[in-house]
Amino acid sequence: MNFNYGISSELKDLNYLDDVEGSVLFRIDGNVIDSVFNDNQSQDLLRTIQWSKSNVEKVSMEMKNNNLQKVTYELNDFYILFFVVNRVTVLTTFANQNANLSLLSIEAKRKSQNISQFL
Amino acid sequence: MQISTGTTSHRSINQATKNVIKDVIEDINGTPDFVLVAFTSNYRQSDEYKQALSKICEESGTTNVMGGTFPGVATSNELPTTQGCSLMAIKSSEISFEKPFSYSNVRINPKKGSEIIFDAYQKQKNKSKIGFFLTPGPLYQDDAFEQMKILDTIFAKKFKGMFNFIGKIIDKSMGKGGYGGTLFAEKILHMLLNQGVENILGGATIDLDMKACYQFSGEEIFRNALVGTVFSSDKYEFGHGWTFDRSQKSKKFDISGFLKSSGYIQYINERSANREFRDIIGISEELYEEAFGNFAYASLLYLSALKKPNKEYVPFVSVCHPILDGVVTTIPERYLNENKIIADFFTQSGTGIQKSAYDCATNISKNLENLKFGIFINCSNRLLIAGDKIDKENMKIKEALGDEVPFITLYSGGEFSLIGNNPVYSSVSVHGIVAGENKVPIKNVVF
Repeated sequence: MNFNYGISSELKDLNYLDDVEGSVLFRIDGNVIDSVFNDNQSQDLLRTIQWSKSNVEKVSMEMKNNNLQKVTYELNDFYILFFVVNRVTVLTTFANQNANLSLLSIEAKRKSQNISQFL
Repeated sequence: MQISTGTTSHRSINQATKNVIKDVIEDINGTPDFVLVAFTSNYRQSDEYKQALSKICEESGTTNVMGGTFPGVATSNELPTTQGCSLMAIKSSEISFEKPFSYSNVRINPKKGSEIIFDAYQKQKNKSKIGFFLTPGPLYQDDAFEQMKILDTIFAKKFKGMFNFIGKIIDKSMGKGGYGGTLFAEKILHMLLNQGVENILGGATIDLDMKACYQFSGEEIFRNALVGTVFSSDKYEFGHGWTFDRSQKSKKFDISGFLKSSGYIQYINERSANREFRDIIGISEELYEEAFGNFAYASLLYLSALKKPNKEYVPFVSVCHPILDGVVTTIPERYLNENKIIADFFTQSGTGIQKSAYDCATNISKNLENLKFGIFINCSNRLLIAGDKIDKENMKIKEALGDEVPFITLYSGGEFSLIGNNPVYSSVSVHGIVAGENKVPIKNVVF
């Protein structure tokens, strides 16, 4: 198995960026296709992930209706970046408040495009 | 002529290097004559960069390799990355490349740096030529702003001459420790101008955390060095230019008190510079802190630009830190010494950035045809302003140059050019060169 290639590898890449706490590839109905998290997860992060899972369908619908490629939320001291991957999947990145959102969103966009090639 | 460019991203520098070698070096049939390599600064460790550089030299079969680290890198055929590598490899019998040079004491002795560039420039005898160099970018100690509080004291305001002298000593001492800004590059441009050099493009390597940036020359890696080369050709010309987002202009202001050696502005419009700066741009202290605190207090959206009489505006970064009464700037002494200087704020926007990149690419290629390649030094602050829309800027460059023209963009910590007899040391700007053939003038035919 090649650990340097594929969806998991792309998610791991995101997690290596400064201040990123985790990344999840969601199907728009809320099912998780793949995910990677840092070892130490706080209660706040878990609550934020749970919120994302519950709301990804609603968020995806909004993005689709308004033709948005990216949406950013701020919740429980975390940034949540949703990037459209294709019609049925969304890449979600969780970052702490110290994250440089500009740099992070450049890489998340690149990763979402790379992931779309694997699906 | 063979030119190949590519960008790869990966959490491991080894994997990113392996991929970029496969995409770019293996695309060249034979040994490239020159390789420009740009890594993002997130890998941090010099050993990692050294191994990667050795691998590139080994696989390409040449040590005619130069480059450095930047927060973001991009090429014409890929999305930009903030976690990876961009490479441009050129094999050409029509362009001559000077073996890359390096000088590791450039912060202290810019004169020596300019002499090394001049020597390399002189060696190239072809008709058209351009020097290309990279320098260390701004690096500051964690408590740099604390240390600057001395510049707000009553003594600093009353005894400016003495404090200018002290400022010079502090700058030198910081330079010895590998810290400081990039004003030495402005001195290099003027020294080269005095030596008759006409065409130079340069940029500063940078890590946005301002912890460490690296420069590469051959297989060697440096933390505080000038690295560079010279391209020359009898067949091709090098179109060269620069610009910044001039689309929206705000209010004029008067720099009424400053310490020229440190680029420190004490008073604007006869008022405390920090407060007046925020009043002019109409932003509260809290909002300014919230908006720019994470970006080292760089005024990304409100860019101060200065203009000498009968010259064009040149933009500079102004850092407005809450613990200081003044404003820290990148304005060179040469500008502050000028009596009739005009100072303005320009409002930056994502759209304006795209337009300025298009303008720059259009301008440098207007007299050329059969374009071969381009190199763009683009400010990393523009990368922060544009965020994930930064690829649109490269699409605009592509639109201006043509779909098939390969180019590389390095997001730098300062942009420098010597265009004819005009030295340009600026911030939040884009500078670029493009190689191509001179357009043959179409003669009017009279029947």
